[in-house]
Amino acid sequence: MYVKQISFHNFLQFKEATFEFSSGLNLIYGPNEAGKTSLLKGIKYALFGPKSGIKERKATVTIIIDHNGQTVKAFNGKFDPAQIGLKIPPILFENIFFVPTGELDFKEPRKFFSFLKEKLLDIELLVMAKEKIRALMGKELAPLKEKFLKTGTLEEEQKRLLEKKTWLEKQKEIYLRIRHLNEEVLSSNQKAQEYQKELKQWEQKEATFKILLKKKGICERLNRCERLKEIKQKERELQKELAALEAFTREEGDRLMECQEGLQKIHQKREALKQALREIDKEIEGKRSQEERINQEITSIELELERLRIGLEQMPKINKVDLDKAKELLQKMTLLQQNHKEYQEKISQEQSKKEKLQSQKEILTKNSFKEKRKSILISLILILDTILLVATILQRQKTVFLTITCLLGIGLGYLWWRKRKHLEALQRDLLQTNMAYQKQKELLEIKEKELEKIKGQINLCLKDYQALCQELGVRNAEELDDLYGKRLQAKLRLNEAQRDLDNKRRIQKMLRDETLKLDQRRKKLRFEMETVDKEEEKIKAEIFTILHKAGVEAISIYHQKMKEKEALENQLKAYQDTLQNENISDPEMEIKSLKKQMETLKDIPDETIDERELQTNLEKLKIELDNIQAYINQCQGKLKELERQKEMAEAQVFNELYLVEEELKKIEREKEEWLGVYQVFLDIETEAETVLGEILNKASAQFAEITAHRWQGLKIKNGQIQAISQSKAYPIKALSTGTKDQLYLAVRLALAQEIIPEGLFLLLDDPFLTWDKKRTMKILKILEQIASKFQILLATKEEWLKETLSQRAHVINLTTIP
Amino acid sequence: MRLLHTSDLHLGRKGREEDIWKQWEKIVALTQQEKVDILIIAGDIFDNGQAERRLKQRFCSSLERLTREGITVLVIPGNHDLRQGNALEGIELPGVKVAFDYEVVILEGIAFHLFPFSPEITGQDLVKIRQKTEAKFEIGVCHASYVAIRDIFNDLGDSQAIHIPLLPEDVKLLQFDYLALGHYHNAKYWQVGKTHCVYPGSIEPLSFKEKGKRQVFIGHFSNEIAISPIEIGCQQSYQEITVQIPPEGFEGAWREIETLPKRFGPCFLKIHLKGIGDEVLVKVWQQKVEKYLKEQAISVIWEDQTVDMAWIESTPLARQFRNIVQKRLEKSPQERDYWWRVLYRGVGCLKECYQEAMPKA
Repeated sequence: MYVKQISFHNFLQFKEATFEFSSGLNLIYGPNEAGKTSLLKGIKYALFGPKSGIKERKATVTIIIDHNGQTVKAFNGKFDPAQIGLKIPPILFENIFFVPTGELDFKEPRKFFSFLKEKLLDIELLVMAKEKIRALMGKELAPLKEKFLKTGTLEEEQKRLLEKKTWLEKQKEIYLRIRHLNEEVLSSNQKAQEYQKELKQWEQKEATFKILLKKKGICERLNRCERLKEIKQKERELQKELAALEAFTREEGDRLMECQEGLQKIHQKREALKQALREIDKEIEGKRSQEERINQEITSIELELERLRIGLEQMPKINKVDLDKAKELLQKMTLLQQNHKEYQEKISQEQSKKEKLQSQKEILTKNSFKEKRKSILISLILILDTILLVATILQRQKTVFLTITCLLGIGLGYLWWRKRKHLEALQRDLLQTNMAYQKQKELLEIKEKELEKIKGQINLCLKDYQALCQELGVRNAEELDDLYGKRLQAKLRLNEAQRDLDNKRRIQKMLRDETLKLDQRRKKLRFEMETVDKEEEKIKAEIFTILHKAGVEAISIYHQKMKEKEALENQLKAYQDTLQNENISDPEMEIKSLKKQMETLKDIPDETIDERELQTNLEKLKIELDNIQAYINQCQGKLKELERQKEMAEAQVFNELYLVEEELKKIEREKEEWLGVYQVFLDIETEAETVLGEILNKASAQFAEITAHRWQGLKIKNGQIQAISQSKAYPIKALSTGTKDQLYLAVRLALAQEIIPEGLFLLLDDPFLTWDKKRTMKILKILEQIASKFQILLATKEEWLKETLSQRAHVINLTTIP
Repeated sequence: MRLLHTSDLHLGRKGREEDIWKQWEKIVALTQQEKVDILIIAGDIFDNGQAERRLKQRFCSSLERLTREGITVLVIPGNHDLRQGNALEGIELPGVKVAFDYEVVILEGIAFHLFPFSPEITGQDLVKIRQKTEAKFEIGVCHASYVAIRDIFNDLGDSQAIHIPLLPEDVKLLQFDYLALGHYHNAKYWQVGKTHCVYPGSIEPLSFKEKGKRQVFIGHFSNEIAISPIEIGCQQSYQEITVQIPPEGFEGAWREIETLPKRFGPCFLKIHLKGIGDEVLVKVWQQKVEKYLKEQAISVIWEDQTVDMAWIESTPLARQFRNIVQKRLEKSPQERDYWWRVLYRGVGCLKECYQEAMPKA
């Protein structure tokens, strides 16, 4: 499709003009104000008329379009765009196909693609439809699956209907419950009736049970009366028997028992007394024999005593003082003798010491003599030496000899000095030893004098001792000691015998006293024996009288009778008690009246009724009845409450419920369908976006081409176009004017090819003003490529362009036109 | 004792008068054939309260034929009988009992509790007014809506005709051996406890909802109860079909139309027409079908569900819409029905928007 011809009439600077174009690349060349832009605007005006924004009331612009060989005429916007498949609005044409300047006329590049999308789709219709669905379904439709219908007409309707449904169902429930409760009441009533029937049966049973109970009571009373009658009979008999036993009394029975016991006690006592007497006799006998034995012993001791006394008188009379004196003298003598001995020893010691010192003295004297000798010898040699020395000095002998003599002289001098010293020490020692020896000699003399003294004392003592022994008539002190011991023994033996005798005599006296006491006790026991015998006599007489009175022979018989009587009395008492306890005064009378009563109850059968079972059943039934009645009341209360809750006639409830349910179902289905519709709309949009992507790719490639791959391409970020260079993205703002123009042209070309793939015409109004030659050549190449489909009308004032393209393009030179 | 139970005659229904009468005649004949003792008509004898006198007379004379043979007829009014008047006034004859108030009729040891229709009452009220008898069998006759069965609830709800709602609890409390019901137009037989419940249904189909067999019920009461239905056929049925316009055009659909007279015979036919087609062409084709079927005694009611193809083609967005739906359909053919509905709705919506936008443009 291309513009074949254009004719102007009163359009801008064209009064009347006609231009012809070729299908490919056309170059409109002319200087400023030559009418290049007017020519291009003319095409727009012819296509869209006043809608194109050009206000030229009197103008007429006609273009002839070749559409696949078919000629279509358009003037002042009057033609059928569908005829040539031109289905784009003026604004889109203006922006994409008509390029008055390099800039794209989208005010905000950010909105570029959304704008473009709108142009690609029948967006108005789509938006309308979507709005409609939104209004129906709710605001948040976009993420379909998650945010499912928040608010919206359908949603609200659904909500309202659901509320109504709940309300209606509640109403329905009320009716259902009323029915249910009615049923419950009815069945409960039936049950209650059943229970009542049963209860009646059991109550009847209870009545019979009571009658039976009465009958039983009468029977029992009758039995009791009869038993009482018998007892009375027996009582009478017993009393007779008791009268026969009147002679036997309780007191006397007791007395008899006491007597019997007393006799027994007396017997025991007597036995005890007899025993005691026997024991005392035996004891007395023992004491007497003891006394006799002791008497004999006393006589023998007296004899012995006499003999001892005689022995003692025959013995010499030695007293203790003498003995002690002798002993003392002996002792003193031994002591002195010992002293004597010790002194003798000491003296011998001192003697040895003296001898020792003497020998030492001798040695020392000998030594000193020796030393003296030696020292004289040395002094002699020394003198000799001195002489030699003097001679030497005088003879002025050789020095060696002099020296030797000198040294010898010194050595000898030293030796002599030493000997002299030694001699002095020896002399000193000798002196000391001599002094010690003198001292020792004096000491020895003193000791010997003392020894002489002790010898004199010993002799004195011996003399005294011998005088004493002569006086006493004994040979020595040992004999004296022996005699004294014998006499002392004899005296001791005498004293012992005397003491023994005293003891025996005391014992003798004690025995005599005891025997006396025992005799007295024997007498007392014999008296007791007599009283016991008397008492026995008395008791025996009493027993005899009592038994005689009762007319029986033995106490045991009396007791037997007593027991019999007691048993009878007990029995009688028991009878009397029973009679007293029973409040039946006259059994016989009562028997008569009870028998009469029995007569009337004769026909009642003797059933066995379990009282417990009867009672539990009665109670159970009563409880059940109460429960059921309570339940019925409860049900009725609930019924009343439910009746109050009724708000709508039942039939209406059901009718409305049906309607609401149907409506809800419809809404649900409608919602589903609308969701589908909306989904499809979204799909349509997605598809449009895919197309946009393709356009971008194309634009990107062309942009790279134009810029000789200085830029790699384009991309969209946040709805904004960005140019990519070396993997970096730059916003349009950051680009130079030339690059910006190149970018927009690339986008335009891509869009043009996408929107009308069949081809159209591109109107370029000097778009390369800011371009360098190299890039202009590139774009020219691209334009020539697409010129087969898109007729290109390129307006320029560049002469070099005209010259470059003069061979390859159809040139319209506006300078030639006046 | 045998009884025949029917209801919902709707005598005098406009346009169906003769069909219904023929069906009624069938029932009368059946009553005589089956040697029943009692005929129960459970309401809706006439289609409305102001029945023509001639029709009433005709009906009375048919009843007389029965009473003459000793058959007792028990009738209760239904909602239609009492609509704008009382159609049953003056049809009482000897041997015919019409109950305008609750009544208990005892025949041959069987108690018949006749509950007349009243729009205000419910099943509970029936329980309240029911009297006790000593009869061996007790039979209730009532023109009520048993709403516990979904079909009944739906169909009656559809026409907002739920009167005297009756529930299983009510039936239990009523303690009938047989509950002769009327009002619902399809035959139904079920049991609640010891009670046999029966809707005989209308005697002639009167709407598209009345599709099952037309029946009356015979009840045999001796020592036991035996209930058996008898089919009575119909004059004209109500039918529904769906016709899909094939992609190649109307010819394929026409072949299907030609089979219909044989399939249904005289009837009322509802045709759901689906597919995409030119609006005008569809209209022309519909007229052609109508005319053809009318000749075959089939009355056609159209359910036009077609989409106007021309409009879709001329509107790019609608075209896009259709294309997308087609793609979706290819992906999930099992959702065909759904996407079909989406297409209708979507295209309809677009058209609506288009028409709204046009005047502005």
